[in-house]
Amino acid sequence: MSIVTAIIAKDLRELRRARRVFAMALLVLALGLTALATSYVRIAAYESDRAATNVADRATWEAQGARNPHSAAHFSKWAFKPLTAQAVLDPGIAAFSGSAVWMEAHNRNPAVARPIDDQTVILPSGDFSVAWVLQVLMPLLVAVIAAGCVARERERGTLRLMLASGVGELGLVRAKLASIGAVTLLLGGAISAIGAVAATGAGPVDPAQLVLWLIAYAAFLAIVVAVSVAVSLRARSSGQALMVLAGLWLFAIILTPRAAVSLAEYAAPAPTSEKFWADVAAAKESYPSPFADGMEAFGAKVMAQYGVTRLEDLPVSFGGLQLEEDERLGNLVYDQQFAALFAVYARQREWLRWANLVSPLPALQNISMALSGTDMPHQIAFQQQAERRRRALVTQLNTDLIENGAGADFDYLAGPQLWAEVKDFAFSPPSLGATLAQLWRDALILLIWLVAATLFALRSARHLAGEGR
Amino acid sequence: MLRLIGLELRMVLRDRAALCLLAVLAGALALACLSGMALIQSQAEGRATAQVRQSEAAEQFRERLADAALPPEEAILSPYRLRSVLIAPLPVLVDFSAGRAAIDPYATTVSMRTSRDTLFQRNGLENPEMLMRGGIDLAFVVVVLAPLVLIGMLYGLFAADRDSGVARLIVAQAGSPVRLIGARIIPRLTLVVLPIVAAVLVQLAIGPDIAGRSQAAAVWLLVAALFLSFWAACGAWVNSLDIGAETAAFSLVALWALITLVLPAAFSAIVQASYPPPSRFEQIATARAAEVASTEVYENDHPEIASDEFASRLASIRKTWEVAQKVEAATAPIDRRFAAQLAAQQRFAEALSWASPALVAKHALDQTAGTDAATGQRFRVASEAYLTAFRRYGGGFVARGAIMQSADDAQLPRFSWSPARPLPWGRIATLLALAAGLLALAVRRFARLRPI
Repeated sequence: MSIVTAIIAKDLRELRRARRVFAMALLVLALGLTALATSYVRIAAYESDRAATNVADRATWEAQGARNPHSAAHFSKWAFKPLTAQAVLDPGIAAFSGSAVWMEAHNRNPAVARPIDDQTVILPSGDFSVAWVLQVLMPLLVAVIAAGCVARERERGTLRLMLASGVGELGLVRAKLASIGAVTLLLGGAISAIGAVAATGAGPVDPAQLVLWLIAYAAFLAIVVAVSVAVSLRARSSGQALMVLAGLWLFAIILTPRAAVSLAEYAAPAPTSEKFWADVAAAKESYPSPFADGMEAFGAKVMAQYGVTRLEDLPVSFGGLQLEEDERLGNLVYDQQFAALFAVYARQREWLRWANLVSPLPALQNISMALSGTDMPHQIAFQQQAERRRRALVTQLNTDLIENGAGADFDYLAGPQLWAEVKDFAFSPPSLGATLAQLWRDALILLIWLVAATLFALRSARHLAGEGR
Repeated sequence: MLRLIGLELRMVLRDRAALCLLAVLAGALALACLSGMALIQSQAEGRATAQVRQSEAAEQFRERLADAALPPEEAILSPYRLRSVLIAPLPVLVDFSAGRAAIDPYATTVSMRTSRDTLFQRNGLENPEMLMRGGIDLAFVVVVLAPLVLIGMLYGLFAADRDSGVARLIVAQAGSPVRLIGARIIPRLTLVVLPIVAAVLVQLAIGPDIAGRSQAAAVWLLVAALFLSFWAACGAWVNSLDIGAETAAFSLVALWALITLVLPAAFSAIVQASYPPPSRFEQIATARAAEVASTEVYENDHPEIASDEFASRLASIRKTWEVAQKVEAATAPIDRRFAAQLAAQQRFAEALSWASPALVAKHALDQTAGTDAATGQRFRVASEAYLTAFRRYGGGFVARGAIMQSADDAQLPRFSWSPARPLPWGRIATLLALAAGLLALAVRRFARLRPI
């Protein structure tokens, strides 16, 4: 057995015997499993609820009887967002974002039914999930385990003995990295592996996405291990190492991501709901409505198009054409206003990225949420697709009115055949390629952190020079 | 004693680690102040926009009612042209404790077509990513950050002397170390509390002038001071145990993690598992099924463009009103079930929160600030009650087939709600009892120390 292996074996034996470390590890494991179980139950209930609602609502839609297509367009349909199986691992923004969009005529409605609206407990530090346990609690546990890994040897005087045995400074650092890494891998790996199995059981999972998710967490925890060992190498005592690591943890894991949010909101403030809808209303009022001040011009244009001189002579429903024109003009407003809103969200995310200078956590969170299908780009994709479906649905109903409602307009009634032809909303999440394309910066940041942390740990070996004499 | 405190203060101010911790605290407080300013400004602007909309809507409606030239077939639609904007007052200390301010709605527009489930439909445009990650406010600094700063300054209070062997000397020379411990705690606690007091004063100086704000800030500060005293007492108690500095540091950090992170997370899971809210999707589907069932006969959503005749327009809005009532009756049971389940969830969460001093403090701070869950819920309830009164008022004209006159405007129900501001005396008493109890235990243990 080499000296390095012997040191690793000794460390692992000591850690196994350390009751407080063992208790903390058990607590973290229990919390991880609890988070997993609650997420699994929540997502299973959500998905079965969504499926049942889709079936019930389809039946309601098809059984609505004879009515004017525009009346049906007001009643319209709802788009319900599916949750991916990987949300078991990281629910991301799911609790804070709307999961249902009413696709009614005239209006682009925001996504509603945010779980947070019905949740009375808001945690002081993030939402409870496997990702939270791995992102927040695991680094603290690693800090506690690693704080004394070298500093305690120094206090006891065993560090001098080890170095005198010829292991060398770098060999000792490698041994310490390996022993702390092994414990971290055991714990983090156990939680992640059970999580991966649970996610697979919750629904179809892309194995590539899952593997990338695991790699990202492995890299993050490796950074934490390297920094923790480096601090222990440099600390005078294990107590000092623990306090420095607790401080670093507080700064990098708890404080920095929140500070970045505060800065992002300050630097790129999102409009209030009041202001946003007031702007939408003002913009909609500014165009000549085909039902009011723009009616005459629109009528003239339509008559010229169909080669008639009276609206009554049109071979199509003028009311239907008015509705479609109103939709077209309204859609221009919504495109502009929502594009501006989403641009603010994108700017806020850019500001958040600055936090990566002092903490690898925001980069990991971006990767974790994206690969779990629970990040903002997925939410925006859902809202955009719901909007496209709304427009297609309303246009389909308006077209039926235009083609079949000549002379009758709003007295024209369509029947079950038309309702049956209307498709349900089906969400297509962004492809893995598209997801990865927007993650390369975060992946690069994590990689830079990993390299820097490893170099920091290895360079800290210099602090051992002279201790063996 | 004062000389001892002065001596300790000088020692703390020479300690680079302590200064570093205090600098982090000061930085976080500065950021919390900035964040609070931005939040209160945004909340005030949102309310101002809503207020403008309310004034415009009221003015337009008054003009409409006063318009003698309005033909009856247009005038009969007046109840469906009526809009009322409901606005909750600005929470008194929203810049101190954001609480649920960024999540809960504070304004909405009510019309005859609004139903309970669509009352707050147009809220929730905040960036979910920002909500999920959470920002920094003064309450976060008090509940999460400041205790760790205090722990960093207190963990070696007496345990470090034990490690170095000085403890024996202290006990042998001075007897009980209670005075020394007191002299060490007071400057450290003061150094952590003082910047928070300064931040509160800054917020009060630059924030808006809201009635009762200063008094609420005083109570808020009292809660913060008691919570930090609790942590100082924890530090004293842990140091009174026969352990070294490293174990003391570990114990305090573990206690902090347990109280601040683990227990709230565990409670959240328990609450969600015990009282899952009924399905919002089911609520939507039920309302839609009821709407279709109530409109077997064709309903026109645009009475004004479908017909120019008084009788058919009246029939159309009567039909709409009838449908709205049927939908409300059909969805009322599920709404009631929803409200009851949420109320039970809230009661259970509140009961559990007493087990974590961090949650006790957080709830007390949010309650004092007017940004707690209960205040948000009360606004929703008041808005729903107003919606019922508003629709009954407008529906009365529709049912009678009466045209609204200028004089009727005075009878329109007005929304006037101001939140009750119960002060969190129970939670204050709890924090006081915890701090005093732990301190008494620590003093007892220190007083028993005898020279060996």
